[in-house]
Amino acid sequence: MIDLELSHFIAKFYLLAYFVVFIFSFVNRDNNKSNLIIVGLALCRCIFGQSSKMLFDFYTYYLGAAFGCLLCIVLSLLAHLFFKIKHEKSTLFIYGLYFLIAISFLVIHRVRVVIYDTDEPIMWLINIQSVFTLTLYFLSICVFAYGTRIRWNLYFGRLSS
Amino acid sequence: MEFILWAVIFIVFFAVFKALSFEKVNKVYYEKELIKRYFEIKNINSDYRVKHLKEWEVQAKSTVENIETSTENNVIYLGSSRLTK
Repeated sequence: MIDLELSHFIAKFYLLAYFVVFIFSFVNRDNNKSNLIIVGLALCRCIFGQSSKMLFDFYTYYLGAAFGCLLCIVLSLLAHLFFKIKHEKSTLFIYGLYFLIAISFLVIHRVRVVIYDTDEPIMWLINIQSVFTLTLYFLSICVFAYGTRIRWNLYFGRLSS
Repeated sequence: MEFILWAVIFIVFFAVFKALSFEKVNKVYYEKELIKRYFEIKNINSDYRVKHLKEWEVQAKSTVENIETSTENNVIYLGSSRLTK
């Protein structure tokens, strides 16, 4: 895995970024309830995920990370259904990104725990997966901030004809 | 443990698509979108709205709130009118 100091810095950076996005989402005119739900859950995951990193051991570390991503999606889905809020296209995009992140964590787990005992033989794979995951998290922050401004095709465009 | 998480991925994927198809046909979401679209069209020409639509607007709101909606074969029935998807 990457250097501990660097990982702590990246975690602080992403926590700050999520918090700033959460605050600025209230300022964004095009914001909607769907975006607010998923941004709030991502922020909670960012905060509580840091403690989960310390709780899990070698064999369950990546399982815990994947579970955190999936829990985010599940809770968002339940919140949308409970409050009868329609899913926006930007929210569905975030779901897709989080699915990809969870799948990448499970792929690493499969290789790491089932085939090897330590990280050294597959350090290159873990680093590639870290880059992939952090890129997708960065993309998710961009979608939180700017995804609501994209004019998706009007769902009810044909009603005017 | 790992198998459970792979299964959860598939289940949640399936559940998301089920929720989306439920949103597409359910009355609560569709009527909200109708009202939103109505206001979008209304804001295109406010003179037209003032001249012709003021009384109709009040009636349309109560109609949308109270009518029975149903969907069959890509055609949505709102009271006596039809909308083809």
